[in-house]
Amino acid sequence: MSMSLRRVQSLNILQNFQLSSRDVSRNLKRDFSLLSVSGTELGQSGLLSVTGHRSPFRTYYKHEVEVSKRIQWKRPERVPCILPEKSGDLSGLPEVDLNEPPPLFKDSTEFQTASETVKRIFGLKFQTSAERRQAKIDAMTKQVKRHKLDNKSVEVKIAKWTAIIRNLQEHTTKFPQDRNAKADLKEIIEFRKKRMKLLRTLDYRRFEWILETLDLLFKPAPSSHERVERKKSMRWLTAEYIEKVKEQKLNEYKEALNSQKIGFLKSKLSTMEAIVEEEKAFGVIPSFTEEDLNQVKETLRLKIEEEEKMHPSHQVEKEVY
Amino acid sequence: MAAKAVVSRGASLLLGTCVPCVKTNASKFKVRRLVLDTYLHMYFPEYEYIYAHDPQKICKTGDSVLLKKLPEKLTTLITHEVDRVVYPLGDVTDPVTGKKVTFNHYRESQDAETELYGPLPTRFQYDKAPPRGWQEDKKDLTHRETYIKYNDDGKDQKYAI
Repeated sequence: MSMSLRRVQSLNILQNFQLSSRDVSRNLKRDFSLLSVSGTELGQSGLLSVTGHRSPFRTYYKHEVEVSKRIQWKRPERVPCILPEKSGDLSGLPEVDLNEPPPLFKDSTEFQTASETVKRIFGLKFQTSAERRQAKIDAMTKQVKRHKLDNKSVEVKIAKWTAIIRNLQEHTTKFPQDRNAKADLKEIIEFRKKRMKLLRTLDYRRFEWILETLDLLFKPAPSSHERVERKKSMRWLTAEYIEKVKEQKLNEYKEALNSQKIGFLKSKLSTMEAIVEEEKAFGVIPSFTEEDLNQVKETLRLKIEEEEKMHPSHQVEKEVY
Repeated sequence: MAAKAVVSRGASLLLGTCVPCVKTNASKFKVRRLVLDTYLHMYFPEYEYIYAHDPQKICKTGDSVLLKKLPEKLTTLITHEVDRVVYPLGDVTDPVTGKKVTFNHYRESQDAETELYGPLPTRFQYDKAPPRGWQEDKKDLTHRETYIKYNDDGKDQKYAI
């Protein structure tokens, strides 16, 4: 293992240290040994314990160990863009009765007067897949139609694309090798997203209504594309962690100060009263008026009430016979 | 960036576009300014981001908002306050007639057309629909900036893509 000259020198300095003073060497051993980093101490307090003198070149390793314990990075798995998680489809297609005839035959008198076997053969179950898909699209567009002949409004178009997308998503799970379907699916998803974005700028309330009725989730695209990298992610996670520690420390400090408030106010009140009494005894105009004293009493009362609300341990327990 | 400081320092009234922001009592705005390139004799846009005091969060992402300069800074970031929302996004009013507009036609004419065909109860109705923003943070996440997921911590990251 190759060692830089600087590091060798620094190690020599350390050895000299150890030889010169026994106490210092003991301190160094305690501080720099990796075994001294106890898991429980770190996990509970979440703070670095700084004791004694530290040298930067040796603390680096300790620091690395501690960081890996607190901040962990795991590369997220790639989610294909055609899956419902990415496309924003929160639910599937509406249910279609496969024993029903296709919409074209529904109102025909010949079909209605036909025998049961004929009706069964003409049901959606025995029709082509295109017919079944059309039935699903019809069921979807029915939820948002303005009038009976509406097939060109924005909401109907979006409902239609949604039905096609969900149908293709089902298809691609069954046949993952169908690359043409996957390519089509990606294209339609992107097309729908673009139209939704446009609809939002033109008619916000209708956009929200469509999200609710068709059960879609709309996430805008991020403003900048950031590649997923270990080093960058670790930096972001560290910044997040530091913020958390800062907040925790601040809250602890605030609590510590708040707990001293009642005692301080009591002592303040007693000293103020003593000063006033003494000044009265000497015949001097008192430096505190009644109002000042009352103000302190009021704040003290409020503080005590607040404390009781927060920690209701002072309540008298009722005896049960 | 000497040119950029001009916008926030100079004019007392600004027209900005609202952009996603996490702050609870303030909104972030993008203000555009055209700067002359003396070499090309052409104007090019430059953008500056400004935080304005908005305690009720009336501004949605994409709204065009009139901003007023505060006599004193509220914080190091917040220098302006929201005067009024000039153009609410997706809720356009025709300035000549004062009627509400969707796409390139009036809402009234759209409703009249539906009436002719015989309206269905499934249709969208402006009178019965809730006000803008009722799906915020539920199914419409445009009020926050999204990011590409960089860490798999096992939790549900709502704003990650």
